[in-house]
Amino acid sequence: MQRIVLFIGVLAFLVLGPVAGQAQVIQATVSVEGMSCPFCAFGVEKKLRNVPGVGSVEVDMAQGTATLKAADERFIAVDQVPEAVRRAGFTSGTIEVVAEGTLRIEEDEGPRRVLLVAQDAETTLLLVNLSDAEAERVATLAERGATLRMTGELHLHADELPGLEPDEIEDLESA
Amino acid sequence: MNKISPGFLVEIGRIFLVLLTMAAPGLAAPITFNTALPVTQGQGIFRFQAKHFAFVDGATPADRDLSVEALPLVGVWGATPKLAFFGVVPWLDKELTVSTPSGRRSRGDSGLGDVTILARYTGIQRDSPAGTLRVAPFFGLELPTGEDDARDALGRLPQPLQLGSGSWDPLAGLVVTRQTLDWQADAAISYQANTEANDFEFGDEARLDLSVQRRIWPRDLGPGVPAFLYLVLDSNLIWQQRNEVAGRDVADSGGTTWFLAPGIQYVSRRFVVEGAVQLPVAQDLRGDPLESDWIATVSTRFNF
Repeated sequence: MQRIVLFIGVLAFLVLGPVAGQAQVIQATVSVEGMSCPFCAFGVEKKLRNVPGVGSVEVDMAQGTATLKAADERFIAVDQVPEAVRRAGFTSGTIEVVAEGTLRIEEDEGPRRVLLVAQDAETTLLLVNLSDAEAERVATLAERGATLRMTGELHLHADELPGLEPDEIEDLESA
Repeated sequence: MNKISPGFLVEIGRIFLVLLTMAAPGLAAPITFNTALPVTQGQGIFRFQAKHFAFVDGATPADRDLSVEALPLVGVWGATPKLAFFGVVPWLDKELTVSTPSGRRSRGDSGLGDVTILARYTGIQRDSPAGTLRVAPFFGLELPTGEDDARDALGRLPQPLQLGSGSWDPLAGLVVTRQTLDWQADAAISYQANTEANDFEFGDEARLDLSVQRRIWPRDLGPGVPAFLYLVLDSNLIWQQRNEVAGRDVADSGGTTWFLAPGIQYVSRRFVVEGAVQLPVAQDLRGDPLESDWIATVSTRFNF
């Protein structure tokens, strides 16, 4: 009987346990509220360039945004973006990101969580506000261990994983 | 040489003090006074200004003429996103010329003037997409760094013609800025309490400054960070208390002056180039002082 219980436990872990993979935020577009003149844009650019992983920053005055692109072989520490904007003297608004990685589904503690993870990265994104169709698709992709590219709005909360509300999910292996 | 009366020199001093306080520290915004726009933490701004002041004598046969050239260098440093420190280091050249029976005679000096240091803290910050509202009190001190015992062939220059006041003069104020992509408005009130030195005390000074700026180019914003061209209109209302010599009020001193300053400003990511001419709209001065003719300012500012 003990062997049967152990077998079922191992099987459940393999099926429901974490699926590790690589992920990285390769682009982030942050809304910089309060930025209204070119002279002010310089400080925003300068602070955002210092965010780890950022290779380039492009500010768009008309849109009131700054777009960060990752340096080669690196990922953007997107959780540091709001603080960089604050240090420039402005307020960080919405952040749209493009992130690549694999999915990990956690449901051993509390509610089921779907994570876009990086094996060696500091950034793990929690997928939030998934529709039923998206959740079903994500579950299928997670089982396959597919490498994905997701585009969507980032939700940052203190003491919680950054949340990603995906607008687009692209399977890079089938593309 | 005709004797230059103490009251007249005191009046020159009043004008000169007004001019010095017009060496506005600052960012892209008003040309003749400060703004509440932020300075990035750990980032600095340099501003180089060239100012020419012309005053004429409209009332006396001495045909008095005062010209002042000022080159204030302004350094700004963002200590935190809300706290910025400013330093204003002026180089001055001032010359007073009067008609005498033996011809035109001049006295004056040139060199480093009094340095002003300021701290500004953003107390209110309301940011929205493509707009901001900032309210920032500021506090400062004018330091007696300028020469205040200069002499020429006639002896010690009168105190108002010295480059420095010799006194430690605190100042405080409040500046409010509303900025959008298309326009900006600024308002500032300030008060400088001048103290005594060398048996002389300039009158305290209060200011009410207003400015509006309108982007005229580009008409439609494209992508990226295009440079902006603004039309600027500054207004400076300046009131000054009577000066004192040996603890007694000087009758021919103090008063109120209102300047309007149309200008133009080119603003890019890294630098600003601007110019304005301040014209006296109204002058309510006590006694028989020199009158402001015009004041020209050209300036450039650099982010670093």
